[in-house]
Amino acid sequence: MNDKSHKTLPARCMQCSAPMEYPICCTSCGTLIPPPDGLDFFVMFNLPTRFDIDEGELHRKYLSLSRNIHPDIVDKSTDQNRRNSLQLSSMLNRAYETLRGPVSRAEYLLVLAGGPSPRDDRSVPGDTLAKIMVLRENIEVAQEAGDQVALQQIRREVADHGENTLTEIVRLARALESDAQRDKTMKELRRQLNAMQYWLNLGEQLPVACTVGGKGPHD
Amino acid sequence: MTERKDIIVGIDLGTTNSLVAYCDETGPRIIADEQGDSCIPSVLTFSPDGQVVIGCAAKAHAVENPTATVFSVKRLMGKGYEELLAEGEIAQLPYTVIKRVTDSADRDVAAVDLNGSVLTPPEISALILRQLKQQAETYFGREVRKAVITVPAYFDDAQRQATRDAGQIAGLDVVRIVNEPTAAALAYGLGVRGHLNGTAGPSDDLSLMGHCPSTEPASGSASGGQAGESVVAVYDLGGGTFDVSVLRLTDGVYEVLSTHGNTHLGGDDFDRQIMNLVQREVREQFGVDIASPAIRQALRHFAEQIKMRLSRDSSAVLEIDIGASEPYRRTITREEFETMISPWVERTIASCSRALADARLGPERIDQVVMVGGSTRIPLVRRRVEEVFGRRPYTALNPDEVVALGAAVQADILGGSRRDTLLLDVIPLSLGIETMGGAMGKLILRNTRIPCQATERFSTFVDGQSSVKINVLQGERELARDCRSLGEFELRGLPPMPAGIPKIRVTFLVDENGILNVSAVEERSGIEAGIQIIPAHGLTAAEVRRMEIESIEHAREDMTAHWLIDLRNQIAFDTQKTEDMLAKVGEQMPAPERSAVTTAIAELRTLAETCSDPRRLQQALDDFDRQTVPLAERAITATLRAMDT
Repeated sequence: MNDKSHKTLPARCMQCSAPMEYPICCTSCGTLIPPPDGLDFFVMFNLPTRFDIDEGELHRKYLSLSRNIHPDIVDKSTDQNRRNSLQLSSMLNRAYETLRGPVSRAEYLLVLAGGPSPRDDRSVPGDTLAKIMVLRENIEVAQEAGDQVALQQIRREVADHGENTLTEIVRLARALESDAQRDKTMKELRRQLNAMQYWLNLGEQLPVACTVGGKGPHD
Repeated sequence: MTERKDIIVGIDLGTTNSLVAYCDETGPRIIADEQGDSCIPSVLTFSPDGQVVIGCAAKAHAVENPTATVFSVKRLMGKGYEELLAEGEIAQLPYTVIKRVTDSADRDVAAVDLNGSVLTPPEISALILRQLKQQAETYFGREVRKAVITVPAYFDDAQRQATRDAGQIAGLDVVRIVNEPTAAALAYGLGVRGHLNGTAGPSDDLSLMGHCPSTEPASGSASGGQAGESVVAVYDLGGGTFDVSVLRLTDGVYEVLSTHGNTHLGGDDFDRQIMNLVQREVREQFGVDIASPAIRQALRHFAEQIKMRLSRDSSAVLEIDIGASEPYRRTITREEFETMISPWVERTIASCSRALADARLGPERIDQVVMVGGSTRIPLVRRRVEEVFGRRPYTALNPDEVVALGAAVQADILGGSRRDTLLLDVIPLSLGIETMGGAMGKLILRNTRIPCQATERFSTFVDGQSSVKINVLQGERELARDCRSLGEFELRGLPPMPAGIPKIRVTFLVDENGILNVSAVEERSGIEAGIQIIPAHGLTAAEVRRMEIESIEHAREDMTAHWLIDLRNQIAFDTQKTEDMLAKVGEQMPAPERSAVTTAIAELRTLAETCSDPRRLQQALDDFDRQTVPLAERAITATLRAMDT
């Protein structure tokens, strides 16, 4: 296990002295611990800070933590406890959403590593913009002509680009763990993440594949 | 006297019908009224002398008194007059909707004018809620102060707030606002816990009652498809609103993955299609315009009947005497009706696709489609839902009751008696602020799990500026004017500083009810800024408080009177019964015990006549019943012996 994950994790609960599984609450007695600002999301789940995580384990821990800190569950007799519950739950939901998907998880690891934000560096790899321009034009033409076959083709193409970009993102996010050529890795990861945003936006523009209106199996 | 736990009831405040339910260790159940009806129609009639009739009786009066009969008030909750006018809603209603006079030109709050007395939608809803509250109080024989109330998942902040205001005006502490499809999933899941593995649904005769297995949360299950995990879509088409929610159920945790809907789409719209058809044809055939409120009200009733008939039969005959030599007579076939309502049904189907896309799931990943709301009885609706999800929907639950039952289960969770169940819901619509140039700057995206929060920094433009106004928006469109304004949040009491120097950190927190809470801190001084909220389409806190006080004064009198009558009847009955028993088996008892009972009877009767404090009477009755237990036991034994011989 990564050393980092234990840095802010107290060994025992101050209330009931049970061993602490998570830094934000005691799963034995239900005591809520207001988190310090900027608590590492991986640490929150008691997971090693790295790209490869077990998504099933993340989900299980998310549910387990929710069972301890959700406002429906905690004792709301004091304002302080209710506030803590709302704040911790908000933070937990955000942390889970961030770590759940590979793209946002890579983006978060880049932030933790001190890499550039999209504001610092908007660049994308090589010919990405050119490809996007062509695809946008093709979409417009196909949509005007109502050419479903062409749209389907474009949809597949966009999905392929997205897949390829994701493969790169995963490779680079894993490479962040080693110190070799770190700056270069961060810069490249930034670019691939920027490109991914383009592919995702393009995917959103394409109408959802039409399963509606088709006949069901019982007709 | 030991402190008893507060009762928390679950309430489904529906467009057409409203219900109250309660959950104990045997499971959730609907609390019926004194006539044994499980739901009360959400209809109110106001007579000129200020009396209000609610429910079935009001429905019966609707035709006689169309302009003073209010129905479907849920469609007006949290809405402005201008909006309702633009949506064409007002033209459809026989009662008069007006723009309420407010303290500010920026506010537009719709209200109903009932022969001169003006009531806002929350006040009208509060009357229905109070009726349900009393129903529950009669059932429990004590006061009910807390409730979980359901709302359509697609309700925005203003509509949720209006619902909570209605609860407060009715004297209820609304401990939680729950989304209707989520509540339905809760009731559904409770019925099938333990049956979740595999794709087979629960058997049709499975009762929701008396079935609460408490499985331990799974531990150490493998990644990927967890044990006991299933994905459920809830399709909820009621009288006035539509929602679809996709949920993942994992060992008692109900995670909403996405939700979509339309708060202005439901059975009412289907009725209107039939009404419009009849009006058009009568005009064509007889040259008569049947648009008076009374006729429209009667027509509405007919249309509803025809709609319901067409769910069973392939055609229905409508005959209306319009005063001409012969009546207007018309056969409507199911196909014809389906063509009329198809555009509305298709909109719900598009929402289903949207919800699936937002949950990033294909229809094949849905294990069960649960149907909720009266309009899901319509065959076309069932057929189209089956087509979009590629599986036969689950219709075994009573679509009218399941939401209230789910609300009762949520009440039970909040009461702390159901530690194994938890709802994790989402915000249905994006939240943001108006930025420079009139754009919508999104801070929280739709389908974000709640509670959630976002922070934003603001500053001042003028030296010494002591307040900042923020226009908070909800919706998906790019421009502020195309989204709904929730109101102006004015940050006050900023320390005087040169322009641009204050750093105000504003936190937008959406709580577990899906309701926005805003707080602000000036970071340089650490001063917490005061926030004044001017709701665009709702009531201010002060207005709600005033309405609450006004109505409580009435309600308390009503409630106390009601409770007193019940108690006095009970006392008369119990003392008589005890006297009878004493006559029968009294001689078997030791004399002092016998005379103690005689004294207790006399004392309780005197108290019932003289005391008008229901709490004290209830206590005395409870004591009396306890004191007469030995006598009752003797009486039962004697009866059994008599039967033996």
